[in-house]
Amino acid sequence: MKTNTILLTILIALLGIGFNACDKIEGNPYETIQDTGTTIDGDTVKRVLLIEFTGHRCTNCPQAHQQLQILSETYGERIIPIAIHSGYYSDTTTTYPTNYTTPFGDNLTTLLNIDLYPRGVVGSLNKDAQKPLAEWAEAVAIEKDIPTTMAINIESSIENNTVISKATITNTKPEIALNDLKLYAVLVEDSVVSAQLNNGQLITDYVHNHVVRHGFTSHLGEPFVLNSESKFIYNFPVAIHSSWRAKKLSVVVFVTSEENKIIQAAYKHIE
Amino acid sequence: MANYIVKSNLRPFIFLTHSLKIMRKIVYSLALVSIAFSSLFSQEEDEKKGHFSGNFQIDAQTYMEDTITGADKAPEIMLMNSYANLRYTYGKLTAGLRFESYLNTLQGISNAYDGTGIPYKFFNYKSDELEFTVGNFYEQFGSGMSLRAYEDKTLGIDNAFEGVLVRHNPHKGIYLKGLVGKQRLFFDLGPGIVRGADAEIQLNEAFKLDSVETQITLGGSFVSRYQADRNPILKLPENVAIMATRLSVQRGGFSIVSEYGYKINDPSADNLNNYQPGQAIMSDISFTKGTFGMVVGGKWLNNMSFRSSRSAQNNDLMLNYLPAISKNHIYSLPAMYPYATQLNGEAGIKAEIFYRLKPKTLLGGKYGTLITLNYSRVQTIDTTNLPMLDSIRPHWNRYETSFLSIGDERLYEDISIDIQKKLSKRVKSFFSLQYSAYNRQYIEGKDGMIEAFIFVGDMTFSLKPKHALRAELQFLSTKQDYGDWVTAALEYTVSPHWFVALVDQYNFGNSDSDKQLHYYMVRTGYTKGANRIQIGYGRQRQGVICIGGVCRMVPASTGFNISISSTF
Amino acid sequence: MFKSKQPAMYKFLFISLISALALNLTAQNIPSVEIKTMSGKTFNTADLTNNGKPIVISFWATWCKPCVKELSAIHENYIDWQEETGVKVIAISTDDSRSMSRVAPYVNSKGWDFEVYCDPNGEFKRAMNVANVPHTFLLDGNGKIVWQHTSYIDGDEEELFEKIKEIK
Repeated sequence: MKTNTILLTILIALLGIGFNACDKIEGNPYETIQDTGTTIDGDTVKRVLLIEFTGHRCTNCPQAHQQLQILSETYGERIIPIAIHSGYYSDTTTTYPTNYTTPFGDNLTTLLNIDLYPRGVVGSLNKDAQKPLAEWAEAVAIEKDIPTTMAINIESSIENNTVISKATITNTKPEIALNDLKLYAVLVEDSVVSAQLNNGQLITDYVHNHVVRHGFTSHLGEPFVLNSESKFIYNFPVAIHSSWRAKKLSVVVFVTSEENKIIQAAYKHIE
Repeated sequence: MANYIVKSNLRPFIFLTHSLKIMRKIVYSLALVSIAFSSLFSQEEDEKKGHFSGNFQIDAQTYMEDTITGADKAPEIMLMNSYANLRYTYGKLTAGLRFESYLNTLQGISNAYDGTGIPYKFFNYKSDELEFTVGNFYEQFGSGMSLRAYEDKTLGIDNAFEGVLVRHNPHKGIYLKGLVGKQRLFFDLGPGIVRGADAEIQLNEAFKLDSVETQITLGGSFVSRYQADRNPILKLPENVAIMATRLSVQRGGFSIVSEYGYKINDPSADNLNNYQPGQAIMSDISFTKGTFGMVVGGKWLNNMSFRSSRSAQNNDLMLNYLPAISKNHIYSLPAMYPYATQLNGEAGIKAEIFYRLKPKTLLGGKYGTLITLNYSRVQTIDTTNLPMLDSIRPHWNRYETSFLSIGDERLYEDISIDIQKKLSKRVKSFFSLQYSAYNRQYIEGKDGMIEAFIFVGDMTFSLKPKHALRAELQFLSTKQDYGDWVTAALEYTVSPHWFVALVDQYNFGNSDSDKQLHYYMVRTGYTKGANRIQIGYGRQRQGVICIGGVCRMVPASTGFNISISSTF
Repeated sequence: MFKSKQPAMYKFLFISLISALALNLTAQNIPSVEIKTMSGKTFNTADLTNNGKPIVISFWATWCKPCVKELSAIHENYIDWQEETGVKVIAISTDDSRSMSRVAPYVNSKGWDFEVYCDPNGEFKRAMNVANVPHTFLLDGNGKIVWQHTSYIDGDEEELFEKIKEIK
């Protein structure tokens, strides 16, 4: 009798756990929130840089690219994605002839120890900052709420087949000291059509976006000091390569502070 | 200490995490009390005394730059993995801990281990009816389809729980288990809280059917993981459950072991946020009579990876175990292209036959011959992709499939015959022929299908009492990957203490003549009782080590290595 | 958990363990752990006995070459050993659920007549502090571990037999 009572209690407890410990999501699980923030030039809205490590022979990378687009819909200009094509999956072959690799991208890949693709880096340029696709959205959501006092303003124009850019960096609250600053600047190209492996299938006319084409700085950035109430101005020209299309080019600048934390980023499409 | 950050949506678990903290204190207090008591009563007769036991192992290696193999120098020059287990038992009580030190971690095992600590400590009480463990513990429900926490130091896997485990045996033949805990992630804990329960009933014992020859055991398990949803673009299930039911029937030399599992929506890094439920079935039938034995098995699974964190990858935080259906090959070249279970979907079969030709027959020879035939094949499952919701949102279920469907793509196949024969009183031999096909294109996304033919010959000669010489020759022939290989090994042993071995792996068929390299290794070792030391020098080729269908990559290395182990 | 931090608590625990050891160390008995019989029944290792005669417990696996060599070598001499000393050999297979089904047909076709049990999640292996297989224990008639050995090379079975004979 005693044994039976114990058994019965345990069975009821098990059933209790069974019915309660399941969250079944019925139907469409996509959230419809939008949180694009303000987009006035030069204010200190935090913009989140997401570095996407990808490759045209990486079969799961297009899923990551889609997720980035969903994130861009959700956060608008508050998220700035850049795509680095590197590693084994970016090697060129007869089926995948376009070379998207850059010295900037290759060096950053080595620095951040990226060996699995797709990978995303959000928040800092440290080894432990790399995240699998499943963590991107959460990382961006957390990062966008970390305030910043840094403002980056980019001016960019094309003269004589050369992109001439100028980044002006200011600290809107000089009483907050910003130390160990480094500036990184890259040129990205959108809507580049070439082959891509997607879920085991070859897509010959896949559209690659925000492809990093050129690093104005090295992968270790450009150290600078921001004294109170002063500005830091960085000028960076580059001649347009024959394989780039001028109308699709943009400039991305981001700044890291102590412990390689990415504290602000900015994006400028070249008119 | 682990950080128990209590976030607002973790509210129902404040009590739990808090009690875990208290529990930890209790573990140590109890451990201390038990030790104190055992000291007090140490004058009593022998059986009442507690006893202390343990083991330790040190593996160290130097890494030198080798421009020929591309092996890297380690900045630390020498790397070391080591651990020591200590157990103290006093009657029904056991307390134990494991000290681990990775300074720094050997190459090929995640350097997240770098450091030193006591990641494993427990206190256990066990009587005939009831057992409970607080602290760290390992556990397996059934075949491991719903839950398995285990350790494998060679693979760098240790996903022990930290929490509470209770086992109860209310009646003969009835076994109940329940656990709550978090899983180990290197020197930290994973984010998911795991709750699990398992029941097993051995019908013959439970209902006193001693006279019935057929033995039947039934089992069922339920495991649920809690992890908060902080994703802004997807509604994620916070509590994900997996359940499994199993059956084992045995009569004479015949037995069936089968398990079926079902997992509710579990979008994760492994399945790229696929919301469809997972399913798996695994059955093995074995039969043995006289010197004949056979096993046939089948397995089908879809979307069954289960970890205590959605975003975990590699071998981290694995919560269940789905073994590979292929045979575990012993020699190095047959194991060159090992197969690991494709957790997102696969269908496989296997068959293995053992037959010993009796001694003093025509084919059996003087001492008999053991012949083993093995076949296994794994295919994809048949899936139909579901249309995208819009240009960027894939369907939450990704694809449709039907239970037990088989797809067109071959993932792995191997067929082998092994012959073990004692040729004379002093000569033992082993020969094996094997064909393997490994779909590296599908599994690793590169290099296409690799097909290999492999031969292994191994002879042991007893030269004089306690002195033996073993010679081994292996060939692997393939047109893909690195091409053909040959391995030759010589081992001289003097029982019970000494061995010396020379191994050379030669990649003579590499299409790049600069890479036709010798990977040589010299090893010697001394064993006395349960103490052993082994020293080696040589080159290790880049490769994959797999145990139980779980694998890790080992980079090329050159240097000295030393292993010391002891059980006391 | 306790990476790079070593609270005084642990030092104390460790020292206590060591002192407890010094005070009352005795030879180890077989710990009580649940393993599986070949017919899938649960079996407690504390019930492993041989009526006051010596027991050999050998941890092995079907995929472990030296383990199989060791058990084959013991098998060849087993009848003589039993006659002379009454020893019983118990083989604990550490094959996990991947290869557990192979154990019975394999043992049978090898013709081994040892008592064979399965320890698929290494629970008994851990309780006995076995780091690597093969690992062999020799227990005297009172169930105390009197000798143990790790790894196997050809001829090691003779040393084991010498140790068995010493018990008598």
